[in-house]
Amino acid sequence: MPGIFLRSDAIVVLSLGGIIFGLVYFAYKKMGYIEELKKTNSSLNTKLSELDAQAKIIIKTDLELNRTQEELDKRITTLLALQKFSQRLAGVLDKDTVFANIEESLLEDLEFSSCLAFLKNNGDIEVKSAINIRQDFLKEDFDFKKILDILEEKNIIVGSIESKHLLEITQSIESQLSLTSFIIAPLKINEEIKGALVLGNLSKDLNEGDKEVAEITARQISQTLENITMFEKLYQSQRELEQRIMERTKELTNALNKLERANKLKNEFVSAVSHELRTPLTSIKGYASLLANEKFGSVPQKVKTRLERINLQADALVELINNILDISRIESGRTEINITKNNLSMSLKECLDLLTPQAKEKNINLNLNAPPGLYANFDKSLIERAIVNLVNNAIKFTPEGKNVELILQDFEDKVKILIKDQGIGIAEEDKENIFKEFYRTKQATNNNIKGTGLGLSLVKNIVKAHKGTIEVESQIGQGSVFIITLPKT
Amino acid sequence: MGSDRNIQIAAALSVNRYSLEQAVKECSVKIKSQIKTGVIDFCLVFFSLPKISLDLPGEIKRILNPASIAGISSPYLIYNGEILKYGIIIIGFSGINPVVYSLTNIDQQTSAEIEENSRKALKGVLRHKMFSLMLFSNTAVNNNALIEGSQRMLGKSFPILGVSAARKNFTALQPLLTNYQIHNSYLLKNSAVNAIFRNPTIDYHYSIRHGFNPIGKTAYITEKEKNVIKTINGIPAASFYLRYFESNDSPKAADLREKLFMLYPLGIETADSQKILIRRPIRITPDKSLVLSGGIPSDRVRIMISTRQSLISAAGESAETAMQKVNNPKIAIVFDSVSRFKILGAEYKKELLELKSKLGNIPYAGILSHCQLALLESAEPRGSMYVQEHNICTLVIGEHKNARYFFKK
Repeated sequence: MPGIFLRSDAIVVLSLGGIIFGLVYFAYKKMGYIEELKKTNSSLNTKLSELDAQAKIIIKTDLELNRTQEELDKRITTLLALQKFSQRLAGVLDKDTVFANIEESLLEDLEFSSCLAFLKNNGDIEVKSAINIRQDFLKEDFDFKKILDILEEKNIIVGSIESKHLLEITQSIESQLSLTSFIIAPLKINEEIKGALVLGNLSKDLNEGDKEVAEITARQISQTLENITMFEKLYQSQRELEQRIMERTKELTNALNKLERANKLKNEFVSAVSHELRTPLTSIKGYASLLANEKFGSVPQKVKTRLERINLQADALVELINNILDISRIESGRTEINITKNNLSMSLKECLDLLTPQAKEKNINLNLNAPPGLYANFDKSLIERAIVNLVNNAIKFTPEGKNVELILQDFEDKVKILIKDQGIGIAEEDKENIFKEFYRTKQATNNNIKGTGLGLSLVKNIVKAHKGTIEVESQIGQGSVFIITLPKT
Repeated sequence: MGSDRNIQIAAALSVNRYSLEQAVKECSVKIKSQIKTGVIDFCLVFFSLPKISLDLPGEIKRILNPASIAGISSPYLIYNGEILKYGIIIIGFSGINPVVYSLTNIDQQTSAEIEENSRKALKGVLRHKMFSLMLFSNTAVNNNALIEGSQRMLGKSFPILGVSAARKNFTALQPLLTNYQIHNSYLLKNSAVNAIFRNPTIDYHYSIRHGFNPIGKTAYITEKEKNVIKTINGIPAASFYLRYFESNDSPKAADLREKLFMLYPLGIETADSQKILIRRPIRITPDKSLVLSGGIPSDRVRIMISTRQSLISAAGESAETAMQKVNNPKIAIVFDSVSRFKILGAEYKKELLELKSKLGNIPYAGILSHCQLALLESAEPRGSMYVQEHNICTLVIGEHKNARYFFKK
C-alpha cells in the first residue's frame, strides 16, 4: 500500500510536474506567438508610418505642383485680362473713358481688390477711378502729392501697412483706403509723372508678379493717355488748320467773286461798247461803199482806192468787234451752246474745203488725215469756227510751198484734233500767253502778220465751253501743233 | 396633382446687369419661345447681380406669371459651358408644379422647429412626393437642424437635394456675404426654400461625386462634439492635420492653412465604411480642434487629395450616372462647388466640357455652391442624407416613360 501510495504520489507529482511543464511549455509557446504578433504589429506600424511619410512627400510635391499650376493659371488669367484691357483701350479717345474701363472684374482677374487712380490737373488732383474705395473716406489731407514725390524717386512703390520706410503714406493708405498691401505705379505722359495708379488688397501679400502686373497696367494707361494727349494736340492743330483754310477760302471766294463781278462788268462794257461801235461802223462802211461805187457821182481813182481801203479796214474792225462780242458771250455764258451728235470727220473736211482757195494762193498743201464717219457730241458751228480759226492761222504763219495738216485721232472716250503747220513757230515764253486776249507774239509782229490777238482766245473759250482742252507744242522755225481734245459725249 | 399637359422645360440666361425688367423680359422671350403652351407653372431662378433688387421676384411673377417660384443667389452662375459672375438664369417648367415653401431665420431654428414649421407650411399635401430641391442660405451650413428637421418631416431616406450658395470670398477669415433666396414674390435671406416635386410624370435622378482619394493611414477620432473634431489619435485634431504639411502658426500660415483645407480636406468614412465624405475644416479653435461644416458620421478619418483630372472625371461620372437613369432627359441642373472651381483654376473649362460631353444636347444651368445636402452618391430611395462638400451634383429631370398613361388619367 505504502508502495502504492508512493507510486500514486509519484504519479501525482509526475502528473503535476507534467502539467506545470506543459503550462510552462504552452506559456513559452504563447510568448513566442505574442512576440511574433508584436513583431508583425511593429512591422505594420513601421509600414504605416512609412506610408504616412510617403503621404507627406506626396502632399508636399502636390502642394508644389499646385503652387506652380496656380501661378501659371494666374499668369494666363492676368495676360488675358491685360490683353482684354488693352483691346478696350485701343480705340479710346478721352481720358475719362480710359479710367471707366478699369472695372471690378478686371481687378478680380488681376487679383487686386481695390483701385485708386488720380491725375494732376492744373495743380489740383483729380480722382479718376476709385473701386472698392469710398471716395468720401478720402479726406482733404490725403497726401496725393507725397505719393507723387516718392514716385519721382522710386518709380514704383510696393508696400504694406508694415512697411516702415513708407510711413509717410502707409497710415493714410490704411486708414482712408483700407488697404493692407498696395502697389503704386506712376501714370506718365511723355515721361512726366502726371498721376498714379494705386492697386491694393485687403489681406493678400503682394509679390513680384503683382508688381509686374501693376506696372504693365499703369504703362497701358499711360500709353493711352499719351496717345490721347497727342490726338488732342493733333486735333487742335487740325482744327486750327481747318479754321485757317476756311478763312483763306473765304478770302479767296470773296476775291473770286470780286473778280467775277469785275469780269462781268468788263464783258458788259465790252459788249455795250462793241454794239455802240458796230452801228456807226456799219454806216461808215455803207457810205464808203456807196461812194466807192459812185452812187453819188463819179470819184477820182485816188479817192476810190482810199474808199476801198476804208471799206477793208471797216471789215477788219467789224470782225474784231464780232470776235470780242463772241468771246464776251461765251465767257458770260450768254451764248447758247447747242451740243449734238455730229460727224466730226465731215466738219473738218468742210473747214478745209473753205480754206483751200486761201491755201492755194500761198501754194500751201492742205492735208486732212481723219478716219471717215467719226461722230462726237459738239456744237457744229462753234467747233468749225475754232478749226477754221486755227487752220487760217496755220496758213498765215506757214511759208509758201510748205504743208499744213489737219489730223483727227479717235480714242475710247475722247477725240483729238491736231492742227500741224511748218510755220515760224512760237517762242517758249509766248506759249503761256497766246491764248490771252489781244496777245500778239513777237514773231507775228516782226513778220508783219496781221491779226487782232483775239482768235486763239476765242478758240480756247469755245473748247472750254465743250469741257475740252487746247494745248500747243512748238519750236521756233520748225512749226507748231495745236491739239484740241474733246470728250466724245 | 397631375397635369393634363406633357412636360416642357426651358432655360434662359440674361447678362443684362443694368435693367432688371429687361433681363427678365429677355429670359421670358426665350422661355416662351420654347414652351409651346405658353403656360409656365414653376420657375427656378439662379441669379447674381451687382446690386440686389427687391423687385426681382415681382418682375418674374409679372412677366412670366408662374404659379410658384424658387430661387437662390450665388456669386457664380453656370450656364451651358460658361461660368458667369453676373446674370439671371430662369428655368421655366410647364406641366410640373411643385409645392414650394420657405423657412426663415434658419440659423436659429432647432430641428424640432424646422420640422414643425415645415409641417405647417405643407399642411398635409405630402401624400405624393418624389424628391425635393432645397435652396438654403449659407448661414445654415453649420447648423444640422435644417437637415435633421427636414428629414424628420419628409422621411429619413426621402431624396432631398439641398444646395447652399457659395461665399464670394472663399476664405473662412472673411464674413459670409449675404445670400438671397426667392419664394414666389418674396426675396428672402437667412432662409431655405424647398420645392417638393410630386408629379408622377417626372423622371429624375441626381448623382453626386467629389473625385478625391484618401492618402496616408486611417486615423481615429478620439474626441468629438457635433461638428467639431477635438482629437485624432489622441492628439489635438489640428496638430494631427497640420503635421502633414509642416505648417506653423505664423500669420502667413493662416492663409496657407485656408489653402490646405481646400486642397487637402478631411475624409470621414460613413458609418458603414462604404464611402468617404469630404469635410473641409472651417477653422481651428484655440484648443486646436478642427471645426467642420457638416456632421461627423464615424470616427475613421483620412486626409484627402485630388488631381485636376480626378475632379474632372468625377464631374463626368456625376453627369453620366444621372443621364443614364433618366428617361427623355430635358434639363440638367448642376450644383458645382466653388472649392472645385478654385482647385481646377484655368482648367475649370475642361470640367464644363466634360459635363457637356456627358449631357449631350440638353441645356444645363446651375450655381457654384458652398455645399450640398444629398444622399450618399445617388438619389436612390435608401440611405441617409449628408452635408457634402467639394462635390459636383448633377440633377437631370426628364419625362417618365409611362407619362402618357398618367396624362390619360
